[in-house]
Amino acid sequence: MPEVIMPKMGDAMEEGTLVKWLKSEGDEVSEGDPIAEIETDKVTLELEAENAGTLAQLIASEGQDIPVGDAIAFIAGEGEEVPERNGGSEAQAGGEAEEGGDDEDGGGAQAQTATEEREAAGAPSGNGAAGGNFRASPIVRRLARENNLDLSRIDGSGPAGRIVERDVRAAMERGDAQADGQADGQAAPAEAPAEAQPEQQAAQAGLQAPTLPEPTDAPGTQLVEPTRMQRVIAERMTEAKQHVPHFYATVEVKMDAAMALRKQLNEQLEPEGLKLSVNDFVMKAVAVALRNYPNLNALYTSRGVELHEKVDMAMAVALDAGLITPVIRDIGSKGLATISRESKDLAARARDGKLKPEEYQGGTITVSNMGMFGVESFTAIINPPQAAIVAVSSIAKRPDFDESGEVAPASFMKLTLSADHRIANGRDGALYMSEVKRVLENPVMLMV
Amino acid sequence: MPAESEEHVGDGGVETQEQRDASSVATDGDHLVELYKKMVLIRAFEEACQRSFRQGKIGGYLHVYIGQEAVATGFLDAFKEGDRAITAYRDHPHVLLLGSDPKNVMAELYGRGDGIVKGKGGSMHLFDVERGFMGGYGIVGGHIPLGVGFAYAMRYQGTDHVTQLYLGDGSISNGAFHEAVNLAGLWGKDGMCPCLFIIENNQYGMGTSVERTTAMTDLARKFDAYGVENEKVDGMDLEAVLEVAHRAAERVRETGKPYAVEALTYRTVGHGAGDFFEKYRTKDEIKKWRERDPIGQLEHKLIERDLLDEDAIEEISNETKETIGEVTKFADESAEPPIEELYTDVYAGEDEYMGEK
Amino acid sequence: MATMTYREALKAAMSEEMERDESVVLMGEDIGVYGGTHLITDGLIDRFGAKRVMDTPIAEGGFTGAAIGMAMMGMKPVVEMMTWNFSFLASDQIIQNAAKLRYFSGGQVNVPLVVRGPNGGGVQLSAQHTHSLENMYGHFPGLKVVSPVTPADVKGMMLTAIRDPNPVIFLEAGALYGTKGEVPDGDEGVEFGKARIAREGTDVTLISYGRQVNLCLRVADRLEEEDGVSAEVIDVRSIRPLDEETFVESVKKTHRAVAVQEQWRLFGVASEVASIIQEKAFDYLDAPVIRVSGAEVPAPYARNLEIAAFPSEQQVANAARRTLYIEEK
Repeated sequence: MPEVIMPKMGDAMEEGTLVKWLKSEGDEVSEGDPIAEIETDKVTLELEAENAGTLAQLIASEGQDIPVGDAIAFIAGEGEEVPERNGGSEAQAGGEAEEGGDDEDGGGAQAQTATEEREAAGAPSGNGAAGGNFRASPIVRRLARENNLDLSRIDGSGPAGRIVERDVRAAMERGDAQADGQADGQAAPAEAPAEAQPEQQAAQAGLQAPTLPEPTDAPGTQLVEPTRMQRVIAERMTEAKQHVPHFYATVEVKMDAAMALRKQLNEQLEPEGLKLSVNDFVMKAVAVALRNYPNLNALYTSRGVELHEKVDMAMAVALDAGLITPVIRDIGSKGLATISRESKDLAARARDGKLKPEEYQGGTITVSNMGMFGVESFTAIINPPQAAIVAVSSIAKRPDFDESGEVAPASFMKLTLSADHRIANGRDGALYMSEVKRVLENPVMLMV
Repeated sequence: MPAESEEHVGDGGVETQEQRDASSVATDGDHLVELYKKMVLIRAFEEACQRSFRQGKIGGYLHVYIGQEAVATGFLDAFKEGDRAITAYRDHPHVLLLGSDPKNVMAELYGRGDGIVKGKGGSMHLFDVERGFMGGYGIVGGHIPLGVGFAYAMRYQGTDHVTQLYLGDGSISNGAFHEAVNLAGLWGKDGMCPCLFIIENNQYGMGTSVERTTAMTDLARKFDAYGVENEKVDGMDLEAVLEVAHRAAERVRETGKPYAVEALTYRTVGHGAGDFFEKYRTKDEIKKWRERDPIGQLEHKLIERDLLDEDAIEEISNETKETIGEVTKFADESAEPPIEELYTDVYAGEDEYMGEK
Repeated sequence: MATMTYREALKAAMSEEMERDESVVLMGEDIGVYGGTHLITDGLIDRFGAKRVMDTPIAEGGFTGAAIGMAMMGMKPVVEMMTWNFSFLASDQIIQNAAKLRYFSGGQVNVPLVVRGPNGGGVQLSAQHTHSLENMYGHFPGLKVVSPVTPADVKGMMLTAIRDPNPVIFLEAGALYGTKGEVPDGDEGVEFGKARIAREGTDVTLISYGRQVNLCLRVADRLEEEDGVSAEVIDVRSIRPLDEETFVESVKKTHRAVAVQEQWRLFGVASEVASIIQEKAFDYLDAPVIRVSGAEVPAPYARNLEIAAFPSEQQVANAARRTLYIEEK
């Protein structure tokens, strides 16, 4: 047995390092003589010769890592042959020199026998918590699937607006929650029935599905799948643009009086921790002006224009994943402070994905404010079936003329109305916007 | 077979040289040669295990018996059919001496399907129940109460069988030892505990010497506390061990009372195959005990008595080498256990396994 | 049929089986001459003698290990833990030997051992004498673990346990020793691996073991009376093997589940039940499965503190109400 192998010197050891040869090739060694220093991950120690003879061949070099069981040297006994130096070990007659040992852990067994873990679905998939995903218990989702229900039409009575079994049972009894294949309902993206595809929905609505080009897959491009929310927004906005005959009217509002009033009110409200925003003023003004132009506070339904007495103001809130419009109910009867509080709360919760369905469904008119983004003017897309949407742009300081004809700086803000021409005509739209302008430029009107 | 049995109760005395000579002359010469061959085989087997371990073919823990051969060989010579033996994890020689095929034992160490426990136990859990070997166990001291239970069952079931219960010096400090020996002494009062305790005192519990684990280092006398009679023997001298073993086993068989023998021995290798450093003892000490090697001593005696000569010794050595070569080859070529074996024997009865696969 | 107490049912099972099978012996502290601390083995030493009704010294590890050895030799020892709280001392023998011997001996031996004794709290024995060990022993493959509630189950499951060739951990509900029930005559055992539906219902499933089962039954009555809710109560009774099908099917019917355990919240039997339900009946759930557990404290002594440390009727009822989305009381 002339071969000297790297020994296994610890239960988990798989390889060792030959640190140093203590004898040289050709040296005579006796049993028990130390011939090399071996290092494992725990210790360094001396390797002793197991039998006597001539240290005929040093296979491993100093500093080399050698797997357990591999040959590192040959000790030739009397008359024994030393094999050719070939870098590997060769089986000797009756010898026990082997290649490096197998891994005895049996790790393979684990892969084959690990218990299959079924996934506990838990959180809703897709967009994560961003507003628009319903909370619904598992049985509710199953019932919805099985009975083709549109969960966006069912209010949840469970915690955090979770739709629970009794809600579904009640809705099924009433028969008002059937999914009809159209992306209907209000601003929030609906929990669409599993089978409906965007093209299918579009086809059912009497539109032609757009023929979209294949991606180029060229270098420097990246393909991004739209989230569910983005897809629903895309559908609805497309539908709005195709179905609703939009017309537009812009006014430029001199905001100095409103800003002064705002400042005055904020000073008074500061101890309560309240701060009114420009948008609060705009929303209130839009609501006040609607009193004289009620046909712009309406919904275009299958059986005609539904006029609403109360103004339910939908507020557009931008999200990373898309857009949502929480609703301030009956805003006309609320004071600025209340409006401010509600709008802040709704906006915050909208961004955290914590709105209840009843908070973003409904709405009779929408205000979309991009003033904080430095936009001089823009036109918004109507949220069907609403009659109108008002786009609010940035306030810019410009030179103006005062009563005496002198040049004086003034703050101006553009408001653009988009209105459904099936409900209102151009004259109604223009007159309405003048009214909004009047209210904002004479902000005491907000008290009426 | 010793002509007369001398009691050495509780005084820890060792036989005088004359006594020993008297009994050794009476021992059958051929039988001694047989025992010599067995010890040589055990030694070769254990050395082969160590090599295989270092080659990475044996995983986990490996505890070999090198230097202690006379103890198991001597005591198991007094084992009769129906008896049972149990020990801790240094268990290869016991199962081999009781007749298990070394091929299956090596296959077990290699983790193969032909292993003596189907590859599911490894070195520390060798069993051959048909031949009376009730296992190797991994928890120090944990097996001792089991052996006492065997003994009770033997008398409860109306047999005259004996349990040979092997334990190491390291287990003497363990609660399980004391509780079990106490029960043995208690049940022994009614003759319901034919248990022969064999303390394989190799003087070290892994790296801790006996002196460093207990203030009262006379291990045999520990049994006095529980009413179990005891004596000591030189564990390196096979003939001395044989004498005590036969005498003690018969006594236990007759009376149903437990008895303890402390065999002073030494392992000239580390505690386990991974115990490379051995900082706890000196090379000189090991060298001294090597000079008292049980196989060497016996060889010497057999030559003196003309029962063996150099040629015979060489022949035995070569035969052993060949046998061991076949043994390791068998183990090497054996297949691993089939994966289905993972799920068997968890329970006895129809439902061997209760769980997902 | 006969009416008897839990205690009497135990004694009947053991003594009847000892008559039939000579290899059955009893071991434990003060079970013989003293008659047993709970008088379960009272009189048995006179009937069967000291070799079969063995008084042991206070050495749980030692005598449990000896019993394992006897079992390996073909005897059928029934070892008493005076209370399961003392079993920690024997747990090395139970877990390292009894549970695993069949496996690491490659099937060469088996261990037909029963370890029995009172388990669970509720009798002011304070921290060291109050544990409920279903989850601890239930964890280990190789053991069978049962926790009977009714006298009929106690007798039937003890017969099965003694006859089983595997080690059985027999957790008796110590607080229920005095309760009475109908016990069938004869020697038929109650099989392991089958839960018991203690009460049928339609709106919510209450799942438990041991004395909590009786608590759940009282809660079910309350829910019926106060809220018009129909609760189904399931007595797990066999911890390992665990009958998953019964409670899963129940939840598929009721859509709601509350699992009650005396143990602490994390890693207990109720946790396991809840996990299995959400795995196998997910689409049937109307609410998350709620666990009601003991307070995260060692068991206190004072009566009022001890009551507060374990699940109460109100807690369980409110948990049920939570799953029904109705107002808690």
